[in-house]
Amino acid sequence: MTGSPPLHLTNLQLLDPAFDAPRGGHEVLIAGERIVEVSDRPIAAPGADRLDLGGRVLMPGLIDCHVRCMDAGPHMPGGEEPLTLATARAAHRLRAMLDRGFTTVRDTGGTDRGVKAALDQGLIAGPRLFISGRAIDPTGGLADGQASGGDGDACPCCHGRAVRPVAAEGEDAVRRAVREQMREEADQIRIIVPGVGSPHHPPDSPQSPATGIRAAVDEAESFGRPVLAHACCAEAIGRAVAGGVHCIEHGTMIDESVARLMARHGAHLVAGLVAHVAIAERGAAHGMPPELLERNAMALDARFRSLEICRAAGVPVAFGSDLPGVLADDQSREFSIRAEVMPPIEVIRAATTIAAGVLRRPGRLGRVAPGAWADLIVIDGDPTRDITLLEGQGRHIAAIIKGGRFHKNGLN
Amino acid sequence: MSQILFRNARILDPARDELLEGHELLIEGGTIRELSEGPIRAASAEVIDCAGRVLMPGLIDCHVHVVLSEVSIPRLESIPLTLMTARAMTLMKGMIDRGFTTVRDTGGADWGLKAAVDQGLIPGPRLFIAGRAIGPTGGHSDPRRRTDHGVRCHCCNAMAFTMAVADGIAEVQKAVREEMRQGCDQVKIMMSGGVASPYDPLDSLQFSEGEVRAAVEEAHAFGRYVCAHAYTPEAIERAARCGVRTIEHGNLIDEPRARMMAERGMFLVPNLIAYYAMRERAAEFGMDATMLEKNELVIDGGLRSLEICRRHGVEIAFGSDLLGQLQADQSREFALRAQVMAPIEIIRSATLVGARVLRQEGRLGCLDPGAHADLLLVDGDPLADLAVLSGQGERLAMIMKGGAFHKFRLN
Repeated sequence: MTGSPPLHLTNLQLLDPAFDAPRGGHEVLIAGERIVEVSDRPIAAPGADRLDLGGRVLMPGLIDCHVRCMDAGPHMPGGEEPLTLATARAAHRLRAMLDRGFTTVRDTGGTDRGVKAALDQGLIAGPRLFISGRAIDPTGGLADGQASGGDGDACPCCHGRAVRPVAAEGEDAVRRAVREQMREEADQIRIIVPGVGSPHHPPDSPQSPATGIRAAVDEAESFGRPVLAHACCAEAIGRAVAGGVHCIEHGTMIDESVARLMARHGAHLVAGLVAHVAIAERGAAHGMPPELLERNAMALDARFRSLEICRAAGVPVAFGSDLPGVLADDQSREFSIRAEVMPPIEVIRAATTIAAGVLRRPGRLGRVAPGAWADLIVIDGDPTRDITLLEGQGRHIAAIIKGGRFHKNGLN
Repeated sequence: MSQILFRNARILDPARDELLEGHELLIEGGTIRELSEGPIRAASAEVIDCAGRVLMPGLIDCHVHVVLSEVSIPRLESIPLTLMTARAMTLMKGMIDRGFTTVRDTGGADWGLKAAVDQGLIPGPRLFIAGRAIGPTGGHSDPRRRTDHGVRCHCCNAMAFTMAVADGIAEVQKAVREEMRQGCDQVKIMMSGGVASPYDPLDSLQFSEGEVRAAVEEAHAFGRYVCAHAYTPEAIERAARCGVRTIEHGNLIDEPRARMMAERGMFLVPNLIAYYAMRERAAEFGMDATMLEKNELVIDGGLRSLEICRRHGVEIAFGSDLLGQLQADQSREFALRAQVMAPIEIIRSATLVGARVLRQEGRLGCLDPGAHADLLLVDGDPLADLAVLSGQGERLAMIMKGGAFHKFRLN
């Protein structure tokens, strides 16, 4: 990157999500890994490599705020595969995400600093990765039946269970667990806040004590990290937000009053529909048990409602696909599914500017503006008119640039 | 099933002494179907005009460590398994780029990596794995600092992941069974001191006879065999008497022990390049002085061991054993061996003999009908100049594994 000449992009339609539609007549100059100039007049850049985009649409790279790179399957059989195989699978998936135009993803499934280092060092190709480390379950119970602990494992690190939630009962244990994730370079902390009667939990599942939630937020903030909470029912969302959680994942059963609470606290929601659609279509073929398929069907209806409730209350909702590993290729279908209930530009903002807010990188990510990282995609057409241009495994994406470097360049 | 017909190639069949002119080779799916003196009729086959290039079986390296991504082993202690895997992916791609379509990992690679290659998740050679290399406390597979007395976790970092320690017959049996449970193709044990380990003298004897016999017995009971890390005549003799099948390194072998190996049909897997590469560049990658001193004890024995074993009829396979950043030197092994062996013998080491070590005769390292279609198309004749196999595969116009192209650049 250093030493290579600036890149001067011309003859393009600029789709910066701060605006509603692509605008012609703009030029963009990239130096190193940043965008340094965006202008509606010709940019004088002698010595730069000039690239004519042929009138195509230039927009920021996409951001998916909820992926699980190392996920083994639709109902997480876990522990069945070694970390070597899980990592190879993650490498394969990360490349496919970048091929689909996602230049940043936020992992909520336990992917670790080793994968992040491999990406940063260029050993594997993929998006920028924001990791959560292992999720923390402050109930100390076995939320989702996924947390390890009490199963006789002396050491959970050699197999897939290494990516699963860690149980931490009581304030001290929660603080320690949070510190441990941050020691492991987590970009954000994920906690699990199960609630009474939520579709994912039996009625007698333990509740996260408010002290546990507050301890997690306090520790994370001391380290400058945000906290996201897996929470589905209104009561659990309310408890999490009151405890200071910055972002709610799923939020399936959210109601109007809790949505207003989120808006007051400036909390984000990360939600997706595609996982429910894909599971309804193919979950059974991948061995998902009938009771989960039933819950999935209920959740899909609720998800559409939750998007509308949040939109009305003014809660920013970021793009999150949350697909199990075997269904991960459906990632971009989220765009057209969401476009059933909102205009395409809003869906695009969910995967750019709003997602950048979730990641606390406004202005750096999700924009085509001076100072932003040069994470850009070039589309054969206008996605604000036809959102499906963002689908099809990157088929309509002529070029993909991450940090000023081409991942794909099919412009000629 | 789809067919590919290779036409207008000069064929390097390692079973012959010279190139075959005017032959054609037909593959079907992932398998070689026919090698013929004359034209083959295959109407539906895709035809590849090789334009006089040399067509030969893919190479086999019988001694690699795809997860040892650092020259200084202690540095692996700070590498999580995810990063270890990502590095291994890069190293394995380098190997197949150099024309090695099969490698035998003698310590570290697990069934997860093997499955990832088999499932096509990552490009790389066929892997024959040993799982963890097993040695005694304080031996070549015990890289702990002396200040570290704790119970070892076997999985939290790349250093612990690759090596196992076992003491006493019962522990050795258990360690061997564990690796077989984990799907190993061969069992690797440490029987003498080594270069890249901190505290074991090079001439130390590691594992008692009882422990070695226990390992061999367990491996045989499972249909596997034992390969032993050994430098000295004493260690080689103990290995031979206890039923070990292959000697890895063997630099300090003498005449009587070479005879013992020949009588028992044992294989030698030398790896000369590792010592030269370490002498040249290991210090810059953090290898400490005591290890480099041990390297000097064995480096001169390398060529002599080849010469002695060759004279006594011990079968010699190709190995490289390079660590971390030095792995790019893998194919320099050809030129080193050419000082004491003929090119065709060296190519047989990396094809036919390698296949016998792996118990894959007729399936790998040859052009027989029924063999895997693991093929190279070379710009130049390796029998005239082994340098065409050197470097990073620059002179390989095509690399095919199991009938699938890894590389195809014929123009």
